[in-house]
Amino acid sequence: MLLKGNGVTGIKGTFGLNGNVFDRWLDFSEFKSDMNDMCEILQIRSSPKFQVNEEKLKSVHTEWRQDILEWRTNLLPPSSDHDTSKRRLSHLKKTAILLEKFCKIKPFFNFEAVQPKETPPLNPQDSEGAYSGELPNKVTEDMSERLMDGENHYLSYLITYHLCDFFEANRTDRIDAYIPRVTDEFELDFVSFLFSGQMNAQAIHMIFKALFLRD
Amino acid sequence: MSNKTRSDSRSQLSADNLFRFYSQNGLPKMDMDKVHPVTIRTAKEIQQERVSSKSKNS
Repeated sequence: MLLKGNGVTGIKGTFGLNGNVFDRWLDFSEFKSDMNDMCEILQIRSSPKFQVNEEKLKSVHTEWRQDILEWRTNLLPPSSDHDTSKRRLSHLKKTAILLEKFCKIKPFFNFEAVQPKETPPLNPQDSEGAYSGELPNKVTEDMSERLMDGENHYLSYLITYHLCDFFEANRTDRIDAYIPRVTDEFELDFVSFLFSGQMNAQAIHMIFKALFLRD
Repeated sequence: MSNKTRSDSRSQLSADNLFRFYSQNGLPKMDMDKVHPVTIRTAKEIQQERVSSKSKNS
């Protein structure tokens, strides 16, 4: 969800998440709304214009929910009360499944290499509220090229990486402070892997797990 | 997923085999209601910020 309304209208490039995001995304309209918001944010930062393909996004959402259930049923140890609803998938597993669906059911974003609309200027008076942020800089030209070249796969990576990053940065059950370890090289190699046709949710999960590992 | 599950040799392991399942670690502990701002950044931007922070601290 974009942090708009409640006195923060005008802050672009930032959206708000809380720990209940996956529960909220069980509702397709909430999922779609957040994807549209993320599209809007990314267009502010870059040159390519892209729109959510609702039909494909619906398929992504349906298969994502189905696979979460499959993982809970087949890949998690039985809970003592045999209630599958109490078997919980970690944020990394849910995100890995989502990324697999984004990459397989494409294009859920339709791309055009045109300039987006001008971003409205940030009004400082709008910054009073839950969060006061700065308007992010435009990405560099080479990064815009990466967005164009990577299309759905790169966008999917950006969205899902930041989902994992959000949980890791705000969790309170780790001893070590969170320091993101992602590098430019990793990003290139990982998105290349997503294009490879060899990727699947289980492989993605292990990559995320290694990337975000800490005591 | 169904096809993958069928070819997954874990399903042939006994239910008490240590490697039969993934760990069931659920969502991390955190204040689930607090909204945190998220800004989508490229890896290059994140890396530059991290390296810059290290330079300042050294």
